[in-house]
Amino acid sequence: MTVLKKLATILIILSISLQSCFHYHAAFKQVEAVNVKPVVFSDSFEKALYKTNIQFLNKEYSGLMFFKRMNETHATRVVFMSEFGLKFFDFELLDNGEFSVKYILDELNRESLIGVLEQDIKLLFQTVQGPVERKYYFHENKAVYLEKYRLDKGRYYYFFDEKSTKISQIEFTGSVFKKIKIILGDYSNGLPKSIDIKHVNKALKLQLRLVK
Amino acid sequence: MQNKKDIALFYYQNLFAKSKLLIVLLFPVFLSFSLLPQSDSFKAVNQSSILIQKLDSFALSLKTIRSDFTQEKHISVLEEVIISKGKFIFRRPNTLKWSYYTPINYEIALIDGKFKINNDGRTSEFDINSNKMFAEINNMIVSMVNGSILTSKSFDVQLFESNKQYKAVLNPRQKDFKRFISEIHIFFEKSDLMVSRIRMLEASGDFTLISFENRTKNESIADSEFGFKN
Repeated sequence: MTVLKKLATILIILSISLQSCFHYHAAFKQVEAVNVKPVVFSDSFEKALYKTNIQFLNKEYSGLMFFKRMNETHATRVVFMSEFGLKFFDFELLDNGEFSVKYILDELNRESLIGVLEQDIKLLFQTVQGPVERKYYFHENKAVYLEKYRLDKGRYYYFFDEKSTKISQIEFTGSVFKKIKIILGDYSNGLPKSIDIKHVNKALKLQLRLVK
Repeated sequence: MQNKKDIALFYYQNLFAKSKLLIVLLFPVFLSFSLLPQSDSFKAVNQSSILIQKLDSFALSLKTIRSDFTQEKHISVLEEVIISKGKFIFRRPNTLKWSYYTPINYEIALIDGKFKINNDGRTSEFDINSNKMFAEINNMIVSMVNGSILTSKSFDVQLFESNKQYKAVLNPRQKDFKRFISEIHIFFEKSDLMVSRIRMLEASGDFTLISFENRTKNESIADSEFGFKN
């Protein structure tokens, strides 16, 4: 009986961890390199304004998120403010991946939150860094490419629309307990109309809508 | 940034770079900007206690206010201005509603001791005192609008005047408060004593300027107007 129990437990654990590894492979067929770029905001990106809701620890923060790439330094600034103009935070992401907090409201000043937001911003504004194993897949029914990066610290999955070759979804899996999923809506002039970011096992959700 | 007009961001740098023609065309606009009272055209008011009394008693006579507003958020480091527009209504003593309709739809009403929010169709409400920061902001907004801010113990007040306006410069006394707003400037029109602009400065150099246009006072405003349409 105990052996059976152990076996069942092992099987359950295995199936959970295998699911995260092979989840996409079943329906996707590996293909040769395709001409896609794993970055949401291109090099020519200048600025964008999004209506934004952030749910964090049962509280909701709403307002406007402003992204700007600075001319001289090429740094990306991310400013989130309330409708009234009260600033919630102001982050800077340098080209070399260095991330700094220029301002953050006391209430939000938690290392765990800042760390997660840093990762989200990097997923949107930077390409995968470091030595990687890269593979491409194609899903005929959904007409999407999948680009998979494998790094020591985790796996990155980028889904591209076959026609536009724009990113429609990004997933980062660090472990079974660490997973980020970003869903990107249609693009307008190179900017995704919507960005939805979900974190597994984190009470944090971001919803951005391009302001028109 | 596909629709610059709608997104309502000013591209100062581009504006100057694009063409001289544009500058010529916009010259009247620049002129009118330069005619706006600058801080140096204001001089200190001699008997400020008398003026405070005058503004305070006028504020007490204000039963309602109805106004359009333009809010400019100046982000100094990014050299950007984010502009929002909307409508504002106030009824003494402390019922008010801000309705933003561009660039986003957002309404926030203060009624019966509660903040009620309509965020693009999703409504929510919470007690003003549930969040210290909101309570502070609320106190400030209500007292700015109903005029009691000039006699508030939370601020040091200095008064200035130009030909057409009075300017009250308020310095928060509480350190906590100063962390997010370092100074507030309130402009009163001499012609009708109503508040025409409020500028809130942050320690970072950023500021928010709210300009009230098409102001009317003491028209009756029904309860239903403080609710949400959808």
